[in-house]
Amino acid sequence: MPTPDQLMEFGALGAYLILLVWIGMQSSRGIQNTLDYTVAGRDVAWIVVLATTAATMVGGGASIGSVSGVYQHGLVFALVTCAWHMQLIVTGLWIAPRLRQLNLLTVAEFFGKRFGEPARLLAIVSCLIFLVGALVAQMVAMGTITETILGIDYHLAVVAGAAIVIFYSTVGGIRAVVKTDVLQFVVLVSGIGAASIYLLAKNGGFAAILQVTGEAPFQFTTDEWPAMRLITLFFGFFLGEMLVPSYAVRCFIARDVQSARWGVAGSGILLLCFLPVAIFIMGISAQVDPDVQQAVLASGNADSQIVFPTLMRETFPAAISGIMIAALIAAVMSSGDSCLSCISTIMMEDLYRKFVDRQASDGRLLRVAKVATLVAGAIAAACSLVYRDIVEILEFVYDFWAPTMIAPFLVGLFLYRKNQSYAATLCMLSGFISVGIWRFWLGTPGDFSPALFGFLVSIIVFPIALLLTHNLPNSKMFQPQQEQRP
Amino acid sequence: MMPIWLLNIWHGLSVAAGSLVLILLCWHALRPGTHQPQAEQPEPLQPRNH
Repeated sequence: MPTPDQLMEFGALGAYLILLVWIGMQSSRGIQNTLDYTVAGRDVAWIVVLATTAATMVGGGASIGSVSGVYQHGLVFALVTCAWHMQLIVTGLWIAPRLRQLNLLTVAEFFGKRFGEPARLLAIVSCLIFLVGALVAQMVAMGTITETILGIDYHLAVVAGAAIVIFYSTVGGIRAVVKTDVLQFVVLVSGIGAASIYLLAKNGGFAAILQVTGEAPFQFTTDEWPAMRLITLFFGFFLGEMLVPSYAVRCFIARDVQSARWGVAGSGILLLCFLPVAIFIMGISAQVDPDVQQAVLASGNADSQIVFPTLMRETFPAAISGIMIAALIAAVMSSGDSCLSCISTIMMEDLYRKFVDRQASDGRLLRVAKVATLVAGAIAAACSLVYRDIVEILEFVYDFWAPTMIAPFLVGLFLYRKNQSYAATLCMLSGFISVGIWRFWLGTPGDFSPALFGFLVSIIVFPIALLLTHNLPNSKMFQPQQEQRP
Repeated sequence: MMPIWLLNIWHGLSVAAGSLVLILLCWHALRPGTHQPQAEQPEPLQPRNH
């Protein structure tokens, strides 16, 4: 029989999940066409762009993974996570306005219009690797949190959580995703903010914690994390999520150029102020909590993903921990639903409309997008029942994204010239292949981030390839695509 | 080592930033009426020739 505390937690979580389903059903009424379904009619205000971008940023990695990282390594890990937020500021200030002006639906569309079909196809593959990997990681996180805190079987938790995300994403598209993101953002900011204040007060402030832990968790670098590792990891984090489809679509949905700029940059500024110090407080509070230490030891998992959930359970009364459970689930869901929405847009626009039916009506494309959401969600949920290591999955997808996509993306936005198609395609291929060699064949020598290595290779290859190919006329396949959507 | 005073300031900033954005969201939600979508002129996808 569940205890009254458990019933209270179940109640808070259940009410929250029902609210998500209701929002999905409400949003479905506003869907008139594919533009509504994929980019919310391009009419989202800056503060809502800020909330949805921040909610997407704070997923399983930035919540559970980061608190676990601080628990093990101290302040250095919290400082490294600043790279994620700084990346959003850079993207918002300089890249989002240009992306918004182009009126795109997908990232691959940009590559096709700049560099031709081969670059477009490579971009589709790269986007799908990233999105499917990230979606699986979020579903694993959802199952892990629910299993750890509520004691529900992992498989049941994944299936139930995935069903809710898939439902509202399928019926309401990006409109439902944005609305649920705003709700999730409010729960996250309130929950994590309240937790940081409560835990700091409970432990007597930073000075009191310092006396218990010693200086080690407060150091900028440690023996295990020397400056070199810190710097490469910082750049790895910075580049790892730059321009990924989940953020690019936040630029596409904004009402205008300024909404895109300040929505995305604002989310980075907010998170930089808000999150690293909050996760630092949680991580070091876990270090001084004997119950958490005992639970981690009992789990037998050195880089334990259970630190954050256990801290909530051990620290808060049931009513608050119920809200915090909802906040954790919110963090994961809001990242997962964005991936799902982007996958469905890629399936509809980049694959179905390009390869299956170029003249498909808007109604048919809308149905394709909905079916794609349903199928992709179901496949990701099935994968998350097999692969359960969040960090490994996320490292894999981050490593491949930046080397393949960032250099040609930035060239296409800021330095676009004629006859760059061959160089851009070679740059993407070299980045992808070099990461594979560095990571799988050489085994990541010297702990040097594969993402950073591959990115460096790609930015060296691009000018060399450009020098060799810029006088060659583009073959038909490499011609920039000028097709307009019907 | 990170100075304690700096961590305290950062935490204060954290709470203030979170509160401010929640207030702005409430203000946006409660504001009567919504803006009409603005028609954007797409940037021509032409390469710059130098």
